[in-house]
Amino acid sequence: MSSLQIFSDRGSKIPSLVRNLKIGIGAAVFQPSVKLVADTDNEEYNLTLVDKKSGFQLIEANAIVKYLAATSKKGSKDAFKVDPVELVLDDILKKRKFNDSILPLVKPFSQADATSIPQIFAFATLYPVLTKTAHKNEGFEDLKSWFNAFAALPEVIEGVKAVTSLTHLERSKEKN
Amino acid sequence: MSGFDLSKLKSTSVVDDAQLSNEELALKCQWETLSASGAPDEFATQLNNYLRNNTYIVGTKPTAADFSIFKAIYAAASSWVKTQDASILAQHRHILRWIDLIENTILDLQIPADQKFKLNFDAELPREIV
Repeated sequence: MSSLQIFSDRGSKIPSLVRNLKIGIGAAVFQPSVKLVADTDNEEYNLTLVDKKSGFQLIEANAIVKYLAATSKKGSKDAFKVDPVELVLDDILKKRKFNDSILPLVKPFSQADATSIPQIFAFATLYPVLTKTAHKNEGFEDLKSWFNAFAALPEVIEGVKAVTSLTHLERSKEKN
Repeated sequence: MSGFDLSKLKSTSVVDDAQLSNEELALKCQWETLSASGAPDEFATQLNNYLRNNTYIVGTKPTAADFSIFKAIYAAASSWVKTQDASILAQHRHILRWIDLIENTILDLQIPADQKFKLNFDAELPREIV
């Protein structure tokens, strides 16, 4: 049994959802025995990975996913390499601008692969935009096609299910 | 502390990534990502808390992350020191200790002595409550 525990980000804004999706899917893919839970005993709202044996802690989503990948059965230190798309995705998260303007920034992947760390990060970052029911896919059909194929992977379904049950977004006010 | 050109600094005397454990690589990744997250105050608080119990960014070894984060936080740290405000210095005491260490170890020969941080180690700061 794993000595790792992962606590979700308990914030109610979109960046919290994105961070939770990264680690929720990352855990489901790389270490299915480690479940994402909400630490309601703690006043802190930030996500955390804790190794109960060693006391080792991480508080950042990208590092958590890479650590889960590197320490998985087939894992290696290659998980820590930085793919150029990560910098684009981190910049989107930094600017907190989750609308269609981010879609041209992410090139569609040729094949959906749940074990690809850049794909996990891209899916989580695009999720708030591409799951809007009113979203029109004009000009981004390839990206939406990859997104839908990734969303249908069993580990991704499980990860998303765990996250959506834990993350409760504040509804933004309608603009006139 | 007049402004020297940070871009000219080179990372030397650091432990190569190939010699780091998974835990150390994850910490390196974490702090490099957080330093670029666009939330400087939150980052400073998190880093200060972490450095309370750790010598370097990945724990006990100097790595390229100490160098990149030094460059990322140097301007903010300079402004804290300039204020000479005990509460601001106390709030960032572990980062300032770490900056002093980096300046005098891995960057020692690259920063002119008269341009290094002048920390007053005898300054009376409020006691830290953890």
